[in-house]
Amino acid sequence: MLFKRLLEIFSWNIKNTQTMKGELNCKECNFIYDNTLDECPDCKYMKILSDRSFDKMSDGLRVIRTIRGETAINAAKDMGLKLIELRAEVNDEFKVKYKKLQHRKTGEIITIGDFREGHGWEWKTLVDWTYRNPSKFFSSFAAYIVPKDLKSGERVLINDVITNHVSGRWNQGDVYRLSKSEAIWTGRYFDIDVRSYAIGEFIG
Amino acid sequence: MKLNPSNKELYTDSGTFLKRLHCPVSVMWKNMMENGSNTRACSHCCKTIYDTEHLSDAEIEHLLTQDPQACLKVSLNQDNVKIVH
Repeated sequence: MLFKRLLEIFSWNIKNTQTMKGELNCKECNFIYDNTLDECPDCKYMKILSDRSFDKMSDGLRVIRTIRGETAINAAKDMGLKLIELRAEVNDEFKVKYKKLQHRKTGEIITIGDFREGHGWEWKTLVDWTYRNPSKFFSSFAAYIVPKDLKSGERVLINDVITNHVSGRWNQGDVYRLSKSEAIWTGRYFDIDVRSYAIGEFIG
Repeated sequence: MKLNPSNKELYTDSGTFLKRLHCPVSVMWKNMMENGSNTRACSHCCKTIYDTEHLSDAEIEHLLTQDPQACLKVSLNQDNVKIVH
């Protein structure tokens, strides 16, 4: 009986992908990552290397790929791609608050970000008001992939900016980080045009 | 109204999608000339920009029904905007 139970525990541990620290173990690449992430970051950035959607223009601009983590960066180097490697720093100035609620009947989960947003008794709190720091990434290694035919002075779109820039401040205390931005390729680096996607004021 | 700052999508309080706020020329409100009590003129594209601070959801819906390309200005700190993620 005891032997059977030990066998069950042992086989459960082999199948389970959750580690003792609440981390997840990716089935595809074996990478261990934080369980607050939606998907394995190592796989996510490896997929970006071959994602053809980046070849399409967006708002008339070429889109620059950003990769994060040693695996994707090493793979990009092996592929002979031109990289601008930068260190992804954590800046404690950035904070974005949120609260997670679940509908008692339907089970729907929503995330709210505004203190004024009222919800009735039918919504129960899953995660009370808390802050996340949008400058925290799974790895401090990051790089832009520079198209080899990119000409100096060309304006591009970066969907995942590596350097830290304040995008906007909200009077409820949130400080947003610029995640997406237009930039100009100087020939050596991307000059980030913070105003293009800053969120203090929206026009359009 | 509700605004998602990460994708710049604007909704009514009841959740109806209004529009995605995107300006290809990255104009700034403070650099525009006033041409009405709640409007300013864009020197880049000669359009009128409507300040949503004093507009109700119904008024914005009506405005966008009349002209789906109408330009709006929404500030993160205005009282009639709730932020959603």
